Amino acid sequence: METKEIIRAVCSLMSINGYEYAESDKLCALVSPYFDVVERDSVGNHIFIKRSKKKNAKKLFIDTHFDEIGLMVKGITNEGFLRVCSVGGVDARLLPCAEVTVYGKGKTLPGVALDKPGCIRKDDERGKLTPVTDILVDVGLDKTEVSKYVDIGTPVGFAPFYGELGDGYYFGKALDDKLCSAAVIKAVEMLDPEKLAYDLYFSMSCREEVGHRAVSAAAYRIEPDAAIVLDVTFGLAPEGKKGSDMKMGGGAVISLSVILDKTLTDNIIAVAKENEIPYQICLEGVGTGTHADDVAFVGRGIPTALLGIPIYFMHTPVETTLLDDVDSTAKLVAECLCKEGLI
Amino acid sequence: MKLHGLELIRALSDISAPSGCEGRVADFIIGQIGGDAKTQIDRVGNVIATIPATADAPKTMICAHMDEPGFIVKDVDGDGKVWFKSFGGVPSERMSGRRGVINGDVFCIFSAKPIHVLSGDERTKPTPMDKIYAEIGAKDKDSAAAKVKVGDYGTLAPSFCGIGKYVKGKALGSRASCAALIETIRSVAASDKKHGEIVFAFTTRGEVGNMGAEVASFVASPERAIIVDGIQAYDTPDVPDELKISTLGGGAVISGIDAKTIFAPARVDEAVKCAEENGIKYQYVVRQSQVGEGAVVQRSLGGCECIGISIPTRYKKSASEMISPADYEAVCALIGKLI
Repeated sequence: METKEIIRAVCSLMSINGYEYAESDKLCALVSPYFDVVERDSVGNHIFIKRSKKKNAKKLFIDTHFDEIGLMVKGITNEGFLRVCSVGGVDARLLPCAEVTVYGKGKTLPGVALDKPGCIRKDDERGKLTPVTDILVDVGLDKTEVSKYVDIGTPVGFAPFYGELGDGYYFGKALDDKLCSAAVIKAVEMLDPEKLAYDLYFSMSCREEVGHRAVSAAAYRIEPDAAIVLDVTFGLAPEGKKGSDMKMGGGAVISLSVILDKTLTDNIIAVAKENEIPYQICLEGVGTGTHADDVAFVGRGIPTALLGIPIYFMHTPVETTLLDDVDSTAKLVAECLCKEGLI
Repeated sequence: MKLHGLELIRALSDISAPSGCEGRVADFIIGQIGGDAKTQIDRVGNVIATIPATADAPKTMICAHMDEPGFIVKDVDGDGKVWFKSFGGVPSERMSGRRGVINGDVFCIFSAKPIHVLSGDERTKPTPMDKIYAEIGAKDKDSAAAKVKVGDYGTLAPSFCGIGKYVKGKALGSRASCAALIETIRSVAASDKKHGEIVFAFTTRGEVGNMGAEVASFVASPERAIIVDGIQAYDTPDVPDELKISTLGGGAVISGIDAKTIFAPARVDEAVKCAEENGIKYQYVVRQSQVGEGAVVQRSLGGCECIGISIPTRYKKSASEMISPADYEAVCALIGKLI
C-alpha cells in the first residue's frame, strides 16, 4: 500500500482513549496480513507478532501508541445538544465551530462543536476561549432522536479529514501517534520475511494520552530482549523551539537520552548510515515524555531506543507530516529488523 | 448542468470566492441562470440578471451577496510559510488549526502555535490573527512562490455536509440566499404570472461594507427591493429567548429593522400577510446586530422600499454555518409569492 493510504486507513479509525478496541476488527483486517498472530491483552493493547525464520531469535518489542485524544458526552440538553468533557488534553483553541464526529450506538453522527455565544458571555469571558467543559456539540437533532444513539460516555472525536498539501505534506487527525503505527506497518510490508532477524512484537498500545497507563503491561508480559518506541515529535515551525524541535524533511528522528540504551541507539544510527537513510538526532532531557520512559525499566529492564517522526500542529485536527520522513522512518525500522547484532 | 435545492446550495457553498475576488462564484451563477434571464457583470463585479416587465408594476430588485469572508496573501516568507491579512469577520479561533484554500485550488492549513511553547495566557485566549500563517506544504520559498504570490486570495476550505436535520458549510447563509435567487429566476421564467421588471443582483463585497449592493441599486434604481441573506440564529442552549434573534426550522425570517436599516413598514406588513395567506412558515425578527445590504439599498437615489427576507443561520462566519432546508424552502416560496 502507498504510505498515505496506510496513514489514512490507520489514523481515521476511532481509537479515543478507552475505546481502542472499538474498531479492532477493521484494524486487524488491515494489519494482520503482515503478521503471524494478533493478541489483544486485558488492558486494551493490540500486539501483532511476526516470527523470525531463524532459530532462537531474540524478541524485539516495537511500540507505537494507538489511542487518540477526544471528547466524551457527559450530558444531553433538552434541545438535543451534547455537553462534553475532554479525554486526553483536547486543545480549547481548536473547538469553536469545529467539525466533530459523534460515535453513537450503531450510528456515527456528524456534528459541530460550539463555544459560548457572544451574546451570553459575562464580561470576564469576552475575548477568551471557552473551556472544554462548557463546549456543546450540535448534531442537528432533537433530544428524542439523539437519545436513540447517544448516551453518557459516548466518544466524540474530530471529524476525519485527510488530504495532501504541496511537496508531499499530508494532514489529518490523530497522526499522533498512529502515524508511527503506519510507519511500522509500512516497514513490515517492505521487509523480506526471510531476513527478519528477530521475533517481532509490535504493540499498538492504548491509553498513552491519559498518562501512559498501559504499555508497561504489554512489555512486562512479553519480556522482550530490547524495545524500540516510536512517537511523533514537534516539527520546527515559526514560533517553535529552535535547536530542539526537529526539521521537517530531516528524516527519521533518533533520540538520545540518559534513560535510553546507548548501544542500541548507536547500532540504529549505524544502520541509518550504512543504508544512507536520512536521520536527525533529537537530544532529550532525562525523560522523553514518551512510552520509552515506561518501557525501559519494566521488569528486569528492557534496553530501549526511541525513534520519531516530526509533525506540525500536534493535537489539532490537521496534524501534518512530510511523507518522505515517514518513508525514511519505515525504511530505518525495516533495516533494523533485518540487522543481525542490533540487539 | 443545472442543479436544484441542496445540490445547488452545496455547489455554491463549496466555491471559494471572497470579497473582491468573486469571479468563480459569478461564473457559476451565470451558468446556472442560463437562458432564464438576461445576465451581465457590471463594473464592480455584480452579476445582474434581468427579467423584463410583463405588466405595469413597480420595478423590483432582489439581491443577495455572493462574496464570503477571506484573506489576501501579504507575504511568502523564507521558509515558504504564507502570511495573510484577513477580512470579513471570521474570528481567529475559527481559523487556527482548520483547512483553507488559496486561489481556489491550493489547499492550506491555518497554523496553530505549537502547544509545547504556549504560555498560560495563550492557552486561554484566541491566537491573534496576525500570528496565524497558511501552511501550503512547501519545502522552501521557491516551492511556495510557484503556487502563491502576494495579493492572492483565499478562504476557508469547502466543507458542506448534512448535520442531522440541517446542513452546514462555509458561507452557507449567503450562498443559500444566492441559490434562492437562482431558483426564483427559474420559476419566474417558467410562469406566466404578470409582474413588473425584476432585477436580480448577486452582489460583491457584501462582507466588507455592501459596496456591490450600493452600485447595483444605483444602476437598477428600483422602486422596491428584497434583501436576501443569512441571519444569525442563536437558538442554542443557555441563550434566553429574547437573544436568540432567529430559530432554525422556524421558517423564513421577515425583518423589521437591522442595525442600519428600517425596512418599509407597508411592505413588511405585506410580506407578513403574504406568508400567512399562503401558509408559509415565517418568523418576524427585529434584528439589531447585523448591517445588511438594506442599509445602502434603502437610500439609493431617491430611496427604495426595502424588505429583508432571511435564512436563519447558526455559527455565521465559520466553516460550519448551519441552516435548515425547510427554512430555505420557505424563503424561496415567500419570495416567489411576493413578486
